Amino acid sequence: MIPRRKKIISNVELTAVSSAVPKNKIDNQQNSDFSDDEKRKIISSTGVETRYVADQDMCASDLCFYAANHLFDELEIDVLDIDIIVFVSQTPDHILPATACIMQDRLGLKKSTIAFDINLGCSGYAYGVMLLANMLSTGIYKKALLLAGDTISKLTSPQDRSVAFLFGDAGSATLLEYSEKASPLYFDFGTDGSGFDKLIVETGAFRSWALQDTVMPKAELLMSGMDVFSFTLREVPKTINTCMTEAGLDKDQVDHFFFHQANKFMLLHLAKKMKISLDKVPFSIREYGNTSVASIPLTMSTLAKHANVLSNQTILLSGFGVGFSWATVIMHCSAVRLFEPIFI
Amino acid sequence: MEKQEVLLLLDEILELNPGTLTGEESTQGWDSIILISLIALADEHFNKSISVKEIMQADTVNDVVMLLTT
Repeated sequence: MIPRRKKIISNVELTAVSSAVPKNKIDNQQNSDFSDDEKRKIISSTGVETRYVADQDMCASDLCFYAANHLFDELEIDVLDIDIIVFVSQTPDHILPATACIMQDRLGLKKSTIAFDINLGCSGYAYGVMLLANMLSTGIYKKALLLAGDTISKLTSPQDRSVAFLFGDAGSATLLEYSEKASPLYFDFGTDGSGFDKLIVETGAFRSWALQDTVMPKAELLMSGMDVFSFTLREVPKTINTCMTEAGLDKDQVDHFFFHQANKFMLLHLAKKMKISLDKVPFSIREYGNTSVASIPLTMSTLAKHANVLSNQTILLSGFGVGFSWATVIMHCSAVRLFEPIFI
Repeated sequence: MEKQEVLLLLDEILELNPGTLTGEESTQGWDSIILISLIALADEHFNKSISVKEIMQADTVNDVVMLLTT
């Protein structure tokens, strides 16, 4: 029997994170579709006070494009050094082609670039980090750009109280590099597809299209918050504990827990349940809302207000939700450059 | 945990004055925020994972108390 190998990837550093959000700021208190009492309860529970929402002509890829260019400019990187580009999103430019191909051209990357999309949300950023780390660890490729962005606000009905106050839009760019000096990266991933319909946009693709005539109805996000919460309590403590065991660390040895910014009540409950000090759990949800796949890099990027380099720190990234899908990564960072969100 | 203590916890998540609930009340009209708080309460105070289906089957506050304590 082949012995189980540790879930470990070597020789890869995460070196920089930038983000971009739309200028259009929404104050949830100003929502006129709900009573003051309902607004108070929803805002208090979700923890979302404001959020930034893209105009009709702005896509997730546009936000990622600005985030990537900002990162290139600040780091003075030659774009021709990028070997791989991955776009993680559930709001791509088109059903086809892959947005990553379009981004290769828009960003001026070389034609030998590997480019593909990943269709995941809440867990997508950690997926992107793990996949790119795997690809880089061989040393064949040296630099990879991870674009993670979503414009989920375009899929939400203003009258649906479970989603109307929650989602903001954002894009991000993360640079990962091959480095023989890098500390190992550990991971734990999982899937429970039986919960696929608890966070879903049913229309706009082919399962529903077969049932329609020729006109597709407007795509709209449906969410059962209770089921998502129940799933989170069931799976997330397990994946975090498994990943820490894999890394041989306890929670006191982790400097930052970057959680997907699902909902503040949920995250506070999770931290309390796992006895994680809130000093180690950065939040971006109050100002930016739940920004789907971008929420972890956006939260990292907001830390730049206090320190623009995460130096010699152990960080845990954990994303969980739509799918249901979850993904946790732990890594020790020698120096991650963080850039504050830019407003487009 | 005694029924009275559970009722006090439920008073809190329903934003009622302590001692309001008796157990006979219907759960009809409880919104998703209350139900999410109930899942959190079950996890925190009873170390119990309750499913959405189980919650939906509880018609009265007494049913909820049973769900939490048995």
